[in-house]
Amino acid sequence: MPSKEKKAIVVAEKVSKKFGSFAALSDISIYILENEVFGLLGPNGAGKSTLSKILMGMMDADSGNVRFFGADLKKQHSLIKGKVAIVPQDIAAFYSFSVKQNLDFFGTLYGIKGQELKKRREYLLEWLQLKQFENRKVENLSGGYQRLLNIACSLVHDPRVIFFDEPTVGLDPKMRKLFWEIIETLKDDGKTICITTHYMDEAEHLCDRVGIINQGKLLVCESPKKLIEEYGGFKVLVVMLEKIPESDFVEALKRILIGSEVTSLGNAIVIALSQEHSLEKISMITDFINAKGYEIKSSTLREPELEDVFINLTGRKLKD
Amino acid sequence: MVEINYIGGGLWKRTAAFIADSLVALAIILVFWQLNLSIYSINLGGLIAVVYMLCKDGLLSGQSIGKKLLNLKTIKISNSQPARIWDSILRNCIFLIPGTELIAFFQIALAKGKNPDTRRVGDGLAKTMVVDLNEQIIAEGPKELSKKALEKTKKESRGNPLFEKIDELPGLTVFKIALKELNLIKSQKAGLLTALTLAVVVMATLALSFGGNNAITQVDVAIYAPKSVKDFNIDYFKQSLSKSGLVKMHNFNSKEKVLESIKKRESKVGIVVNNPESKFGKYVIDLYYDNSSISSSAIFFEVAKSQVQNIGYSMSQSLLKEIWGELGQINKDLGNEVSRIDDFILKLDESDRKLNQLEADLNELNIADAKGALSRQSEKISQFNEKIDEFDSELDGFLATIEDMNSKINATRTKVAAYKVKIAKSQGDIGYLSARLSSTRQTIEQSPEPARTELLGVVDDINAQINEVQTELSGVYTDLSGIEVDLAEFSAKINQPETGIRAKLQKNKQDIQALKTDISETQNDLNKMEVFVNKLDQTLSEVKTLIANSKEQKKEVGAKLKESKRMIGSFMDSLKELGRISPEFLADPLILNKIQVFKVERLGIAVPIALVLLLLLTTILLTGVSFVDERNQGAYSRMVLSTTPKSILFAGKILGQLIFALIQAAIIIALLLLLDNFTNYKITIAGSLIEVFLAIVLVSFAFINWGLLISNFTKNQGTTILMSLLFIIPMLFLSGVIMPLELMNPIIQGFAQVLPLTVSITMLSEVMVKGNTIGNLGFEAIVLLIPAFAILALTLLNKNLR
Repeated sequence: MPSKEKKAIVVAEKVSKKFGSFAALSDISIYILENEVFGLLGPNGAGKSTLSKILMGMMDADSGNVRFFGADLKKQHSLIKGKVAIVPQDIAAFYSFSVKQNLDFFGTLYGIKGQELKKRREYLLEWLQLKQFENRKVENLSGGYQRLLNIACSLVHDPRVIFFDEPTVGLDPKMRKLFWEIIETLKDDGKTICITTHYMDEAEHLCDRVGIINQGKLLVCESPKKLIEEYGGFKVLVVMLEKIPESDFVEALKRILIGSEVTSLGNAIVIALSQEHSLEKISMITDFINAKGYEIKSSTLREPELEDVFINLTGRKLKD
Repeated sequence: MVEINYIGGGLWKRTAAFIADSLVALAIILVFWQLNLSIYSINLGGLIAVVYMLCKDGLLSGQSIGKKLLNLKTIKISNSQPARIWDSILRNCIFLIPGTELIAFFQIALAKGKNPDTRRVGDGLAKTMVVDLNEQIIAEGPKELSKKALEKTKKESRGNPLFEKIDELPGLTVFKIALKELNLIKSQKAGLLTALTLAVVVMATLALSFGGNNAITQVDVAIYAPKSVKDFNIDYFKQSLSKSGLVKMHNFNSKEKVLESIKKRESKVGIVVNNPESKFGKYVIDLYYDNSSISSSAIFFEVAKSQVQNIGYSMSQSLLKEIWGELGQINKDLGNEVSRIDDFILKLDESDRKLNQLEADLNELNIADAKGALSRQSEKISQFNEKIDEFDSELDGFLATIEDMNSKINATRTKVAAYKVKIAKSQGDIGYLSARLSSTRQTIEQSPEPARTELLGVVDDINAQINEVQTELSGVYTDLSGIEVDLAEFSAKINQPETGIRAKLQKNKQDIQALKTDISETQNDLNKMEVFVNKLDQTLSEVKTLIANSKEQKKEVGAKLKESKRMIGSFMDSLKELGRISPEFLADPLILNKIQVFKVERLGIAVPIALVLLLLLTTILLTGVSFVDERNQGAYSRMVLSTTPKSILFAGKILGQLIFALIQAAIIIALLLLLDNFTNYKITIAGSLIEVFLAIVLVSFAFINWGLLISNFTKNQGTTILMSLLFIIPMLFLSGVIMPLELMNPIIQGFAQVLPLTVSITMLSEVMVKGNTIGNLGFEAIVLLIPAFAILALTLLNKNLR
């Protein structure tokens, strides 16, 4: 729930949407706090883009309402427009125009002109490393720079709330990192951000809160940490031994790790540690193993992730 | 560190930019000319145009309007800064010398590729070069820009304070959106070049197409005219055809060969002469024409038809001349006939008078009286006859009476005699009585008185009475004697032969018999007469009826004769009138003068049509494709999400497309004016340029919205183009350009007349060819605008567009 320090900028109540007989969204209620990065996480076709489009006012919901800054989105859309932006997944620009021309044009559409437009444009060009391509046509830019332009065009009017639709899909790691930096910078600038993504690491890294959507329904909505804690399940420790452990050893291990699951797979001991088993336990485990005369070749600890949260909540992988 | 390496502007881009700038200059001249502010308007416009051409490269940060459209820039070689006004004047002043443009063109062309040294003489003077901004090579470096590079780019993006000030002005969003639209068109280089070149190509093509003859000079005609055709002078026919010079004859010996000639396209028209038809003897000529093309076939057919008809007229003329030769004689004969009619009429009148006289005479014959008299006579005769009969009867009776009388007379005589005897006797008696009375008297006298006296009295009375009686008796006797005598006379009278009554009566009876016979004969005669009179009466009636009928018929005949006379007179007058008309007139009474209502050549007529078609194709396709591209690129979604209302977005889009359409139209009109002023083509634009451009605005506005409508339903360029063609091609066929509307089904005609293309052609033709004004074309404007606004509303309200 919104706290006293941060108020909800965007509030969606019982939003539903059908396409024919297909229910894309069913009674979704969420809120986005001021200056938070909110993530909409879910597999493809879950309804993330539909929800973000409804939140943006690009699409009408069949039922429910959306409020921005306390104002009804449907009734006050024209007033809200100037404060909101969407960075779509696909490039939304004039491919035959140059970077500068695109920025100038879209800036004009938001009523920004003259010196103000010029300042804004220069700032964006500099910040998003597009200055060198100022006069280059969009179609001649590489994919990554096109994406940067996409962001620039969305930010030209200095919006307060920004929706990112799958911002890093298809980007190389370097670009991905840059995009993350941009989002972080925007947050530092006081913007409120909503990201739709199917990348767990992205959601974990960037988002203050994450809403997991599956088949049009909002499953959970909480900070990533809390989600992992609550729904993430076990940490998994995989210990590779130099030899196949004996069953006694395995049973002994199980006894000392009640609450966790211990499985032997060839040379490996796989231990699913329950939440109460802290990381200190791991050293105890290794000590125990060593004490039992087994040499540890390697050990790997896998922390639960949002993917695990999703799997635990839906019974399937995000990629499915 | 970032380095910007400029590449010189290519030949064709620079040429296109120069042409664009020249058109701007021309537009300036035209605007001033149209505004016609003063007698110096053209000069002022020309001056401003020259100033523009000199200073253009220093106006918009080294970019003239043409260079801006093609993303070229003039920079100083020394510092890569945009050229200034002075630099522009220096580099362009050389063009004040005519022909130097061509030299510059070849100079640039000969420079290899896009070497930065593609500089012309003017560039050498001003130390400038023209660079292509799209072809800048920018070396990508680390994030930080070098201060110098940043400085450079900042200076370059300094822009023009003047335009920045303009930028501040409110309400410019729609123009910026329009500019975006124009830039989109410009960015489609091939499309832009095609669209602009299309205007030139269209005009050139039209000029070439319509630069030929205004009429057909010769038609190849295949002819089959057998000599066996009855009453037809084949040689005369062929001679006349070839004499016209319009027909080039190819003779064939069968109809099939004629048709084959047409099918092989060796001849356009075929003539086959047949035997005359039976009813009127008209010559039957079959004209075959190649109708595989809609328009040209009709033209060739008409040429051939007119030549054949001319021959027909000349043949008619000859025949009429012959007929005219005989008209005089006919007239004379008719005159004689009229005289005979007059005589006959006179005779009829005479006859009429006689008939009238006869009628009068006949009327005087009072047959009725005659009949009445006859009847009366007959009656009298009958009565007479009756009376005769009566008389005869009476005669018989009288004779019988006479006989009776005679008998009676005799009897009477006898009786008289007897009476006489008696009387005598009586007298005797009486005498005796008297004696006795006397005696008595004596006695009485002796009687006593009073008795005596009384008795004497009585006796005296008696005696007196006896004396009276005696007297009477004597008288009677005398009378009787007299009677007897009379009776004897009477009897003698009666019985005297021949003179006696009986004889006379018998003679009378005989006479009566004879009379009766005569009367009978007379009666017979009278009957006969009556019959005759009846017959006469009947005959007279018939005659009168005949006379009346005759008179009536005479009247009729007279009237008809007069009518005939009048008609003959009228016919004679007509013949005289006819005689005054020349056979040449009758053979062909019309001289048809083909007069053009509008002073315009074929090229001038074709230009509005071509202009509309060009606008139709380019605006619909460009609008549709650009809108679809915008949506596919996502730019439209971004635009719709902005604070600018959709109405302004589309207003700007439409404005941009309108401006481009106007540029295309301006190219065509400029070329039109060039053709008019510098070639033999005479193409006058009847309406004012302002009206023309207003019409173009209306037409383009309509087409742009139709382009928007199509792109409402399409998702890619290909489909948009196909759907546009689906819209354009039927309109083309129904517009009246290929086939006149009047030849179409009335329902289709009604529909075709309100199609955008038809209405647009009408509007532009009205303004450019006829000099009409938009104010008088309210219906056309409404037909264009209402659907356009409806489409615009639909597009604005279409929430499915993304």
